[in-house]
Amino acid sequence: MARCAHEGGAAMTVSRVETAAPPSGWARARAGRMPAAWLFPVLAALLVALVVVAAGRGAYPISASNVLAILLHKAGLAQGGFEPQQMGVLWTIRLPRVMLGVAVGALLGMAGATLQGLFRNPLADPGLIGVSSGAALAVALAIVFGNLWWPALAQAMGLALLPVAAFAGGVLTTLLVYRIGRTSLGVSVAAMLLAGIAMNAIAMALIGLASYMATDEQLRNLTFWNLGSLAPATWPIVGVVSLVGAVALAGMWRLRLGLNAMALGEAEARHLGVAVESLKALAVVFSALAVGMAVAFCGIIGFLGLVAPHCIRLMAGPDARVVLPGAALLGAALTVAADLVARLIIAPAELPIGVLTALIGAPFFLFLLLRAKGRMFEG
Amino acid sequence: MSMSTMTQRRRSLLAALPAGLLLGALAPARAAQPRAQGPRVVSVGAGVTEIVYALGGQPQLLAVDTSSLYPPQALALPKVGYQRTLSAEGVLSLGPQVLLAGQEAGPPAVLRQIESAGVRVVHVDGDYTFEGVLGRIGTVAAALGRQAEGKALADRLALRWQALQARIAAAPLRGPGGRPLRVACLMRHGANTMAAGRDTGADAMLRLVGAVNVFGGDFANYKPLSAESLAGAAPDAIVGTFDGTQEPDARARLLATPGLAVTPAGRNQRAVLIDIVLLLGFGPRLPQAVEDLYGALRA
Repeated sequence: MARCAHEGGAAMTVSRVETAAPPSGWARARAGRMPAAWLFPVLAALLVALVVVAAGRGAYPISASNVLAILLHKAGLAQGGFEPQQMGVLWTIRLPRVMLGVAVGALLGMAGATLQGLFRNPLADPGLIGVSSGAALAVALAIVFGNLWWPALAQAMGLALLPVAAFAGGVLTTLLVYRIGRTSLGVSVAAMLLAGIAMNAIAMALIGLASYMATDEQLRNLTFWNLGSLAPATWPIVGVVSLVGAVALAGMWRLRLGLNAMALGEAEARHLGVAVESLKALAVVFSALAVGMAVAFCGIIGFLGLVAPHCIRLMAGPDARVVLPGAALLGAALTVAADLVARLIIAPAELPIGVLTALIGAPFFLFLLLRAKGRMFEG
Repeated sequence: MSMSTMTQRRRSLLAALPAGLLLGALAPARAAQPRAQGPRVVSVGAGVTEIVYALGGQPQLLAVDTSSLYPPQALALPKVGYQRTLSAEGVLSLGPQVLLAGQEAGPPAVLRQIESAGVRVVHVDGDYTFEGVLGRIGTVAAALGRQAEGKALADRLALRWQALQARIAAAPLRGPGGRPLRVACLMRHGANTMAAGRDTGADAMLRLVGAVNVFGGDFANYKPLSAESLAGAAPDAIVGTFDGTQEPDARARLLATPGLAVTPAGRNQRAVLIDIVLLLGFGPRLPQAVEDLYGALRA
């Protein structure tokens, strides 16, 4: 167990910290918690049910039997039984959108869980290490100045301009925050947190400047980008997000034991044999990758990264082995649900999804919070 | 469109949320399909919708966007939402053959999705000129299959336009000393006053009535205006806007704009108010808008 903390390689040189549940406030409220063995089947069933409903419902009416007929047709198992436009809507508009919702929700949920574990701070969310604000700044600059400074580049990139700008802006800002946090003794998590706050302030100021320079149209585009949307979903986008996202999810999952050890404190984790510095680096890289992907194609979908891990922690305790995948499943389910409501609520128009993730997620979170609070005082 | 409309719209959206949560989930919109000659269309953009009505195309019109506030009948049609954030499925659910997309319709990815589902997307573009209006009328008329009506409307408008131009040329708007009248066009966005610079519809309207935009040389688009820059610009008159209905104290509030008191416009109480949809629509009501603005600034 007493391996040197500064040896290289993977962060999970620990194998026996699995029982190390962090002694946080919520952790004391054990009674009445859902056992992990139940949690995953329930969450998975919820997600599958929501995906089925989301695929079947939308502003454009397609009956359940026609949805089935279209899917069978696509699988080459049956022919006809539906109008061609129904297939167009289901296959090129609705299904990619639902799938993108699953992928993006899972990425945001797990990235939130990873960052909360890394910072040992329940308020940590992807915004804290600059991914969101860096992406928002890059998008603001691309929207307002793209055609002014590099018109040829902006023209050539077309629809790819904003995703590329968002991804690059998010990841670069995060790496900068990480770089600022580096000291001769390793990366200071506290310095990173403060650097993230400062970067947020700088980004917000520059976004304000860009907004001032923006035309009415650019301003509106910026506003709506900040509220998020799954509307641009296409199969190629779903493919890119899934591939890159799978790498990020796998990378974060590998950090679970190290994050559990980190919950005891950085020094304690080091004594337990965790390669703390490499854990920090990997956590930052993979969560930036995850959130960068989500932000690139869907804009800012707020609140998920913050709330999904909390909900899992309130339901099943703080073990990262449960919280990481649980937050991914719940994040995916919440995103699909929020997008379903966004599409239906004012059909044939639709709401920005960022409005609804908070509107659906926050009451659920408060409900769990009130229950857990009661238990804490009873216990 | 002013910021306050947006906030109002957002507010009403939010107010509709709880009810919508129930209803929206139960009853997906499926518009009744009117029996009409020619393709069925969804119109996006205030000016585009006005053109559809001016061409008598309303039986073909299935839905409009939230900026289409004129004519009042348009308010009763299903709404496909804010013009820059259209929903592909929402538009398709109405079963149109053509989507008339004004300059601001989008996002581009959604327009592409709608096109790929077999709906013809007709872009109704053009600049802030009378010729631009005629071009848009031609585009919409062709898309609706109403070329004859389009030609008749264009001819009618051109006649009126010529007479109006002659009238303005005969009695141009003058400020003190016989120089052209210098005007500032102000829009209130909450606590802020925004002024129209160049490359705006308001700037084009001022030029069409033969006035000079005092901020035309200073900046492009709409910019927040400080009291001192308004005082420094010293307009002879100011144009304010209202949205739909004019509130009784609107003119008094316009005259109370900080910095205005020390300008010629403030001293002479020369302030006019005009409906923003009419002023910036650049649709078939352009001659009327120019006539109204010219008349108000002359008085």
